[in-house]
Amino acid sequence: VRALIALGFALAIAALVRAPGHWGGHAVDRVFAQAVYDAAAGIGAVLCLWRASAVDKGRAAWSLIALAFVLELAGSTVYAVLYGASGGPVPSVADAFWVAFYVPMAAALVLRVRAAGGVPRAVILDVMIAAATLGSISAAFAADVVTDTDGGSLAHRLTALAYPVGDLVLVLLVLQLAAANAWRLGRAATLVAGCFLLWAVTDTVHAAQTAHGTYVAGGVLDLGWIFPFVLLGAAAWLVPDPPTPFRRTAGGRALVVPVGFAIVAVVMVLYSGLVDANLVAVALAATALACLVARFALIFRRHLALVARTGPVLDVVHDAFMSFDERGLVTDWNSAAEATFGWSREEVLGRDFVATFLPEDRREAQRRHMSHFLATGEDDVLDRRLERTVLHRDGRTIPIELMISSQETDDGYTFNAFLRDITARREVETAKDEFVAIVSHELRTPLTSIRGSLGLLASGVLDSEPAKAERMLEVALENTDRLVRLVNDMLDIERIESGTVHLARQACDAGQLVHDAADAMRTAAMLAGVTLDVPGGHGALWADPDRVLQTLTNLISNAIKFSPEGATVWLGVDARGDEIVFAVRDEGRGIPPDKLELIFERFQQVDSSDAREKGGTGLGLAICRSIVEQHGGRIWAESVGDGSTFQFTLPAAPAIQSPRTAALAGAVGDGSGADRAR
Amino acid sequence: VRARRRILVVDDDDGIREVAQMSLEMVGGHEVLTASCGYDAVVRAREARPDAILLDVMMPGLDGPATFARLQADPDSCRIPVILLTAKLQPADRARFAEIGVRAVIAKPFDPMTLSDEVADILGWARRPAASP
Repeated sequence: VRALIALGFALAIAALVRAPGHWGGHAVDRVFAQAVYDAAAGIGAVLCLWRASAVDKGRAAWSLIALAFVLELAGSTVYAVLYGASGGPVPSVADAFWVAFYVPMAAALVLRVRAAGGVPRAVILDVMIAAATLGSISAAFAADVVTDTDGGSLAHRLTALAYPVGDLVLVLLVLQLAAANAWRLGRAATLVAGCFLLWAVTDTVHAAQTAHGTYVAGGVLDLGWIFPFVLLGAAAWLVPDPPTPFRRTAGGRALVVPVGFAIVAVVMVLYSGLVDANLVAVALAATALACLVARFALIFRRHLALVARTGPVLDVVHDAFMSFDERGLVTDWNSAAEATFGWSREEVLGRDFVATFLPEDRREAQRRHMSHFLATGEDDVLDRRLERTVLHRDGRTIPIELMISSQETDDGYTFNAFLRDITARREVETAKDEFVAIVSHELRTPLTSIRGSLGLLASGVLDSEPAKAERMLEVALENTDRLVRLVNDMLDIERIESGTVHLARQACDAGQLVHDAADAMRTAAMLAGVTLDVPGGHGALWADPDRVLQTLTNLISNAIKFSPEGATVWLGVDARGDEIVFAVRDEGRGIPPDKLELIFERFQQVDSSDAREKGGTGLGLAICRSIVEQHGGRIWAESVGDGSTFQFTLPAAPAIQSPRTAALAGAVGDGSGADRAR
Repeated sequence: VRARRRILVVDDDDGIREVAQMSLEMVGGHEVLTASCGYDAVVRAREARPDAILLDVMMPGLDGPATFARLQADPDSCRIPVILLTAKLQPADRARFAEIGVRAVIAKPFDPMTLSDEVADILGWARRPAASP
């Protein structure tokens, strides 16, 4: 096979290096040219068949090209046999074969275009622009054939015209193939394209020369038919290019080809219209320009459609949305993004997103990543949920969660990112971590005492010191109780807040509950030397009495703990509208204003030693708040001068209730004086 | 020379203070002083010049690191080695404690039978001084 190719090339070169002066007119030249022509076509056919047998993909296409060569050869042979060296009429039987050549050749190219994945509308327009421009050029040379009636019979002229038109179809198909491959042709396809272009030029010139009667067989023009066979043979011989693993649209470069042809079309309009007065050429060139207009209209409409489709949706979503192009310039921006980053859409469009939103130390890496992706298609960021830190307009950094997707458009890649400010989530996470740290500390503290005292007791070092051993037992016991209270309180608050505890709401008397709570705390008050001042108020309450009692005893217990000896703790209950207000007031050390809210948080005593010193768990007020809020009430603390007042509201029982509730409601305000305990 | 050492235990929790004192006295044979807050610790350290200070981290008022800073600022107490005793031992805490220059950190709950050995190892003392029972 290689030998055949070498022979073909040798013959073609031999034909080419013959002195130009020897070409034309002589019978020997005609025969020689014919021989070279046949040899080139034959070798081309053999090479194409060989390629067809060697490849997996494109076998049919190469076979069809080989078939086209055979038809060409057949035409040539028929011509030689019928008319010899003297030349035959136009059209002749040979022309039937030569025109038939275009059918398998075009079919082969159509197959390749299909294999490349078809052609979008925009590309078809591009090809039409190119075709109309080339047609215009062709017409500028060959239109005489049609218009000049002296050029011979109609059949003669139509036959002469058939070749350039057929060539043009082939060139069109090659252009489509190129367009379908994003205007990147392999070496083989480039040779094929060159071959058809050469044929198109040669046939156009031939048609013109035939029309003018100046064509001479065996002349230089014949080289224009011979050399393409060499090109096709070389295309078949070449090792196919490895398939490009990454295919990308050429971006703005995609428009270079149609715009380039359109410029030529403008020249053609001017030349053919003003100089040559060739209406066919002008019409074709004008068609090319019309196609270019349609092409831009298509781009514009697609853009408008995209904006119309996505714009309103993007402005109602809560996530920030941003698009940027290959250069990193922002191309889209929704209102949530305005809120997140502080840049308005007008300000931010066209800005470099890397320089605008990324912290200084991340910019270089991002730029490198982007160019690496554009060059290779490799990436480990797209379509993944990422967490990053970005810059707000005012310079502060904000943690965001984002997902970027890429989209291939006519203008290259567009990157779309949905971003969400996760500052709040980060804060919750931090708060959770802190809470876990606090809980572990709160649990470890009593455990340390228990572990230590029991360890000493178990070792026997205290065997000879019964008093010390007893003290260690007490420490273990006290801290075990504290641990139990802590665990209970933590479970309690968790259950109340999560709503797993069912509140057994019922109508109950607020005054009675205050009395019950005071009774429960009387012993503690007595031990602390504190007086409990209990009012005689009443109020019909709609609540879970056990939980209200728990809240009251908690508050009273706190009040007693922080009261100096001899002080008084006042309790109060009052109906205000559809609420019952409870109050517990002490004469203790008071609460700093900045802590009035904080003390209701878990483990947030005014002084972190308070809980331990006073035997609490640091959860009492948090539990109170949970209970009250679950009932739909409010709890707060006030502290003016000495002492503080804790108050909370609970819903009053509705006016129309069971007879029992009605009886209770009637008793509201029926006070019976203070009840003192010491 | 193996000798009885004087150790200042600073903790706001009564139980822990008692247990640590008992452990260092009965197992380690040391003399133990206690303080229940940072201010008290600074005063006692200056007066009694202990050989080492075991310092709780989470304390009201002056916390462990703040107390340590005061001890360091005072020429009378700046040479006394300080060991933190803490129930708060997240990795971030460890890094923070390492930065401020304390000799070591002992985690709560601690083993009362090995506490004095641990302290001795940290400070390069001989284990079980002569006075040990």
